Amino acid sequence: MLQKVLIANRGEIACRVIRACREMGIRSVAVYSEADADSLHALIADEAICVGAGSNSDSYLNLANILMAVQISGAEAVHPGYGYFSERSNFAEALRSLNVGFIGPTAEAIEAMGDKAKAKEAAIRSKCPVVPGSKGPVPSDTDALKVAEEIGYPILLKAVAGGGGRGIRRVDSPTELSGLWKTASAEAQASFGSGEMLVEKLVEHPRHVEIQIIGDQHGNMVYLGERECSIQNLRHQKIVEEAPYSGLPPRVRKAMGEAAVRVAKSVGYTNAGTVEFLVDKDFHYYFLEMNTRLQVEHPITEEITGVDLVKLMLKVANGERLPMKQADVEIKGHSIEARITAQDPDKDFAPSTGCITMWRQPGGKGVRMETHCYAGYSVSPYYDPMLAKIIVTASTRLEAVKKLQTALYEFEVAGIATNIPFLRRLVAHPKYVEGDFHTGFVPAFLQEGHG
Amino acid sequence: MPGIESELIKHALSVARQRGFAEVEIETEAGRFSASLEKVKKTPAQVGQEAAPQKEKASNGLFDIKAPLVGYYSQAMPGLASGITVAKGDVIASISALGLANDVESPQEGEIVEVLVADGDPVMYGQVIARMKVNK
Repeated sequence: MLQKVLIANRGEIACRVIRACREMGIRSVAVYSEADADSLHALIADEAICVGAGSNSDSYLNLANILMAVQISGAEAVHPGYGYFSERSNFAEALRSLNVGFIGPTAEAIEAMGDKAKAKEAAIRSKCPVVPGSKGPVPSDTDALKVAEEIGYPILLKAVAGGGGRGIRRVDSPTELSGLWKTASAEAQASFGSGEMLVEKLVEHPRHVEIQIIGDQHGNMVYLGERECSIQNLRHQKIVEEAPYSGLPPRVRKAMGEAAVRVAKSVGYTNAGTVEFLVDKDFHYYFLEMNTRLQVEHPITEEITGVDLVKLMLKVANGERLPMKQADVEIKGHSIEARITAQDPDKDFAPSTGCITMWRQPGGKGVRMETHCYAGYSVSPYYDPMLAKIIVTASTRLEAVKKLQTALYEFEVAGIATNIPFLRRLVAHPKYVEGDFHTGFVPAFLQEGHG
Repeated sequence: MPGIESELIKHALSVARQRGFAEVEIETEAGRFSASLEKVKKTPAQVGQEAAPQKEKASNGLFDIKAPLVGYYSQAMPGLASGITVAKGDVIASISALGLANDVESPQEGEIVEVLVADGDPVMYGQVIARMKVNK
C-alpha cells in the first residue's frame, strides 16, 4: 500500500481524502494557504505545508510550490480532489517526471477527454449516442437547412467560437432559419471574431444524468449507477443531486452504463471518472462530456452502492485490482446531496464572507456531512463559496426528500449568509418532492419569485 | 487554447523578471513564445525575492524573516548567522525549488539575532527562517 499521500486541494474534499488515508493507515499531507491556516483540512492531516498567501494563484494553483511540497514531504502519490490541478494533464505529467503517482487517470486520458470535440469523437467511435448535429461548421444557411431537415426541429444554431449564451439561436421551423442564421452569425462575428456556425439538435427539457465509472490498471472497469443532477443554478452549477434517477428504466440505465464504460475504455481510462449525459423525456440519452476526476457529488453514489470511492481510488492508483465485477454492483436505497454555499439568496446569491459565529449542523440516521467549517472558522473571499455538503440516504426517494427537508430545517449558521433558506424552499416545492423536474427547474423556480 | 501552456509561460516570465533577464524564449512541441522584458532598474542585490510579507511584528520586538516560497534552504555567502548586520535588499539566503536557486533578500536593515534553519532544510511558504533586530 501507499505510505504517504499529499492532497493538492483544500476544504471539504481535502478532509474527505485525509480521512480515507487515515482509515487505510496512509500518512496524509495537506497543503494550505495562509488564509486557510484554520481550515479543518490543515488541522486533521498528519502533516501540513503552507504553499502561499491567500489567492488561489499564489497557493493552490502555484505549481512550483505544490510540486516542491510534494518533494519535501516525500509523498509517493498526490490526490488532486476536484477543480485546481485535477484535470490538468501537465500536472499529472509533472508528477510523473518526479516519479510521483497521480491518483487519477493518465495524462493522456485527461488530455483525450479535455478537448470537447475530441471527446465527442471518442463517444461516436465507441457507439455512444451524441447530440445529433453537423460535423463541424456549416458554410451557409442553405446547408444549415439541409442538416436541420435530417436531424429534425427544433435545432440550435451555435457559434463555433461561442460561449456565455451569445451566438446561439433556437430555430423551430425552416421558415425562420434564414433570418436567425444571419443575426446569430453576425452576433458571433462581432463577439468572437468568427461567424462560423454549427447546427445541433435541441434537446428539450433535458435532465442531466451522469454515470460514475472506475477502472483499474488491469483492464477492468465497472459503472456504479447514475446520478441525477438537473437542479442547477443559473450558471449551470449543480445545487442538489440524487442517486439513482428513480424514473430511469433499468434497460436505459444498463445501456448508459455500458456506453460510459466503452467511451472511457476507448481512451485507456483508469481510476474514477464520470461520463455526463443529457436525457430527454423519452429517455433518449446523449453524451455531453467526461469529467476525468472525482466529482463533488460522489458521496451519493457511495451511499447507494456501498463503495468508498476515495479508498478505491487510492487502491487502484496503487496497482490493485477492482474488488468487484459489474454483476456485483447493487444499487440500494436513495441518496440526495445538497450543497451549502456562503451565498446570500436575498442579495442575488452574492458571496458572503467573515467569521462563522455559530454552526449547528444536522444529524441523525442517514445524514452525512462533508465540511471543513466549524464555529469560529472564517470564510475568506478567495475561494469557492461551498461550505458543506449534506448527504441524506433512505430506502425510498420520498423518505430521502423528507430527511433532506428535516436536515435543512435543523441546519443553522450565523455570522455569514448561506443559501440554506433558499434550499429549504426549493426542496419543499411540490414538483421537486414529486421528482418532476428538468434542468430548467431552478430558473423557473426563481421566476416564480422564490429567490 | 492551442500552443504553449500558459502556466509554463507565466513561470518562465516570473523567473526571468526575478533574475533581470532582458528576453525570454520558450520553444516546445506546441509552439514558440518569445518576449522582451522592459528593463527595470535594479542593482544586482535586488534581483532576488523579498521575504514573504510580514503581517505583524513578533511580540518580542524582533522582525521575522520568512521564506517566500517552498523549497530547500541553503546559505548564501556570507552565511546567515546571529550577530551579523545586513542591509535591506542584501541576499541573505537561497531557496532552491525545481532545480532553480532563488535568492532571498533581507526585507529590513538590522542585526540577525537568531537563525532557525540549517543548510539543506526544507522550508514552507511563510516559515520563519531567521529573526532580526531592525535598525530604526
